[in-house]
Amino acid sequence: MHEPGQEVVTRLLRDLRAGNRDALSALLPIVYGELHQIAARHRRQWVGDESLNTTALLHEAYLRLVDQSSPQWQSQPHFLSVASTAMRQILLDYAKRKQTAKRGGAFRHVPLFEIDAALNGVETADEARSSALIALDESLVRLGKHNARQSRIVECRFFGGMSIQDTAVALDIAPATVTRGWAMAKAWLYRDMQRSLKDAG
Amino acid sequence: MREDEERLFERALMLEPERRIPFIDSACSGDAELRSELVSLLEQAASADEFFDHLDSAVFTRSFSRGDREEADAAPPRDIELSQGDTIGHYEIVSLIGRGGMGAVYRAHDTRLDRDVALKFLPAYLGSDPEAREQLLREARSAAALDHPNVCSIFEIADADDGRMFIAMACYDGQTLKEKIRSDPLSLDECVSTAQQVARALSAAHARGIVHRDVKPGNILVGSDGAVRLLDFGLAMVVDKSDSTSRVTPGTVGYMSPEQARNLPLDARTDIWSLGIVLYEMLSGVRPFRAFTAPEIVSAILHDEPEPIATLRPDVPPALGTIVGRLLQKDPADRYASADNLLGDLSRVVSSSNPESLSRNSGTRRALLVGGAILIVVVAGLLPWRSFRENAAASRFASGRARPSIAVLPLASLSGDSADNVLARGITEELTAVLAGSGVMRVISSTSVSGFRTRELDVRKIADSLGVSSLLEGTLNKVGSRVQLQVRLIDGSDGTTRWSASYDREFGEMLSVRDEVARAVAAELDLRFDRDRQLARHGTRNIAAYEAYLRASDPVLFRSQSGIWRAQKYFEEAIASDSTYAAAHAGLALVYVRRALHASDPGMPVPKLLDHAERQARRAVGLDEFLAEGHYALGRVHEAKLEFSHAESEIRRAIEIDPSRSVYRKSLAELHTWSGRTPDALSEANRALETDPLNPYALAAVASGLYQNRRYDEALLHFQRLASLQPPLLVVSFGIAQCYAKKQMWPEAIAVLEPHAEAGDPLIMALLGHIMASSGRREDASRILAGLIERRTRTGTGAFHIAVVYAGLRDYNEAFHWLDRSVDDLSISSVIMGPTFDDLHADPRFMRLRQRLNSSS
Repeated sequence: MHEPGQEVVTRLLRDLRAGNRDALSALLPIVYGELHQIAARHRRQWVGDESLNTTALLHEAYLRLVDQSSPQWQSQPHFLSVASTAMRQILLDYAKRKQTAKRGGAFRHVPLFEIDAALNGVETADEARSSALIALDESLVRLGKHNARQSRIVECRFFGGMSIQDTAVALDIAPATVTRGWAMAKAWLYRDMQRSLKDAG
Repeated sequence: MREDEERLFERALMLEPERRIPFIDSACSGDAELRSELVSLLEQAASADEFFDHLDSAVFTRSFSRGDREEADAAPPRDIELSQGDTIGHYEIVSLIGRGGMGAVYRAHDTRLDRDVALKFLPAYLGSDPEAREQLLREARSAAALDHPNVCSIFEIADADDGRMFIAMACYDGQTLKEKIRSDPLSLDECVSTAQQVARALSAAHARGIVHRDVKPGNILVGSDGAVRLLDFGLAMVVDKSDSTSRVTPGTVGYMSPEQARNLPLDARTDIWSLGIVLYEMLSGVRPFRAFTAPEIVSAILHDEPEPIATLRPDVPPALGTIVGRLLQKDPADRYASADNLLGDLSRVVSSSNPESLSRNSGTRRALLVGGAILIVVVAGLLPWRSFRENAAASRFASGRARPSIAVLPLASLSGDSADNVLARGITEELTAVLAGSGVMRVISSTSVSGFRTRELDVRKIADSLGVSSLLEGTLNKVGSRVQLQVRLIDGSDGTTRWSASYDREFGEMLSVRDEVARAVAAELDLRFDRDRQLARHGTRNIAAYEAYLRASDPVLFRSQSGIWRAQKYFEEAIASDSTYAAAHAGLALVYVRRALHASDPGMPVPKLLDHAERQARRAVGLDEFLAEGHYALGRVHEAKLEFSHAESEIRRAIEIDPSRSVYRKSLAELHTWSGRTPDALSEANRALETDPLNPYALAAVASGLYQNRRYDEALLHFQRLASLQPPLLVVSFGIAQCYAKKQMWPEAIAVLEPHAEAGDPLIMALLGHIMASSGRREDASRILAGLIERRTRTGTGAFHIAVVYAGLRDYNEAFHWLDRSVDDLSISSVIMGPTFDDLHADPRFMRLRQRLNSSS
């Protein structure tokens, strides 16, 4: 974790908090590699191989970061986790649009067991994956209201592909807390998805 | 409170399922709400874990590569890290040799026996699963018993302190065959000798009932002493069983036998197949079954016939080609039954085509003196072999050590605006050219790379399919007069970012950005970079000139008549802004050459166009002696003027300055055709294809070369791969028609050409007339002839086309009359040297024509 760039990043983040917007442009090249990896992971999760390309996604997320009025990023993992969330939002919007278009209008909920069966199958249907991720995202919003820290952990771990260590740094909590929160959040989300999909019919 | 809840949940999870509820009951006594919440969540825990795992793997099975997944996890589970001085039993770690598919390999010193060894750590799951562990021990023991000079010796298999297993084996200096294939073409004798040594290792193993199952270049070590050793006997079987994903990497999948792909029982013949793939790859530099994804590769292995090795490397002796074919039989029963049978055939190839053994054999020499016919046969068989060895030596000399190689992926334009796309293409070309011009790295031309923009693939797959060690990718965004450029240099072997940078500059600074990027890339790849030569390359500091040049050099422009006009306009703008801009002069020269060759230009007579071209090309060379494009342009002018020896020296100079441009080699192949050196033309075309593996023009050149060498069926196969291109390439239809004609398939030949008749390209019309005449449709041929004669009266050029139809009509007097005039009006084309005109070649007048052509230079 003691990369030489780390101190520079910390300084740039401090400058940013102090209101120096130029620091963001200086920051991007340093974290570009990591951001690109996160973007690549997001892209694979959400849209498969075509459509949005990784670099374009990265840049759209970057633009959203630039638009934030008062960034309060504390550390490089924290910055990356915020970037990761921005990417997830972009792709979620995209997946919903695609799903809606495909189903000719209204977005339909698919029962969880169907999704799980499809995921478990030999052929991994894009659609099952998208449905699962959309359902997961909706549950994640509810988890955020119930336990904000757990929802942030899921964002970092599952969507951002971050390690336990980096998640801990990003959220400024102990690694053990990340492990515990992650285990419980999974159970909570799964139960919530089941309930809501059952309700939706 | 929340914290407690999570703690309780975690502790409950750690218990056996039946003890969880009692635990919660006692822990939550008095808090019924908490109890029911935790119980409800615990009920979900197992399914939840499974669901997340499925979701995660559903996401990643798409990419099919295990390494990919590790890359995507920001912090992949690391092997235990060992550093210098750490000890494991009586081994002291010296350094990390590498990380393989299975785990890390260290160089270590055996303090007990005072020798260096290699320690290979196995994945943790192998140590923890007792069954896998037992099998691994059994396999490793039997492999350890294999004492053979071509098998890497295994000393012991043991446990590290943390329970991880490792294998201690002999440590050799050298490189893997995989690295070797990447860095340099192997000579024929290296290929055969390596195959022999691997076959000997297999023969010894098979005799003991050990099947390797994972024969691939990465498992073959070529020692610095030349000895070849096969690694990792017995591991593949164990690893396969325990972890089905481990072999699903495109790298390994390419060597799987059909029965392996079908998951059928395996015997020794699966290794024979894999050795066939390895031999094919050694000879040609590519695997016979290539695709971007594992499923596509598997499908090719199961269903496709590999391209005959001789089409990829013409100097492969037929006997060796036959061996490769037999190794790669889909049905194991059709393959060599044993490695020993294979060894027998391989040794016959060596003794029959080794020049030394031939020349030492006085009996053979006497036979050569006795019969002239035999002499020709033997010499013909000998020449390609020897010339290849010389070429291989020369190329090794030129390239020295393994050169790093790079491909510049097309920059993505963020705006998607078409003008910006053009700009992005231009800058991509520029970066490629600057890197190539450095002469210190192998650069894959951009045409091959252009297919990769829209469908983004795993960078390692791209690197693998282009055979490069690094990739450069990035995006470009033009906002008003500012250009934002993001670039990153990717290590092709593991997909990690080696370097990245972003620039936000006035467009006017693009030149310095280009040079900065090139220098940074070179520095990152540890290269000496000749800065002055770089700066001299274009010699413009004028931004208007540079922007116009970038727009003009969009390769798309050269594909259409209207594009040519636009290119000319842009080059002229560039020169108007900076008259000392060498590259722009070279570009303009090529525009004129192209207008002259197409001869459908109403604007200017051919000689005048060529005069313009020559003036521009000479100016380019005069301004910058080191500009490859200038020499190329001048070479093309000379060729168009039928001054072949001048043409050849300029083209060779261009290749010397920038060996990465396939178009230069293609041009050299064309010059070989002119002088009747058809085998050279084919090997040069193959070299063009090698520099730019996906370039349709290079592939077309290879196909034409095959046709010139009378290999019509292979030529047809190649041409047909290009037949689906839109817009269709005239050279493809032309080539297909000629092949069909040689096979007397007249209706097919005519059907290929007729769709082009409307566009009226005179060369296509001439061939159509020729073929119609040959097939007996003399009246149709005469109608076409009349059209061509009329055209000549109108434009003052095109004697050659008339001659072609007369040749088809077998009116040889007229044919030679017009051929003579075609030298005067410069309309003669190198197609006259091809087999279509065999009838003419036999005529003494053709000899005179050739003399005239040769003397005109």
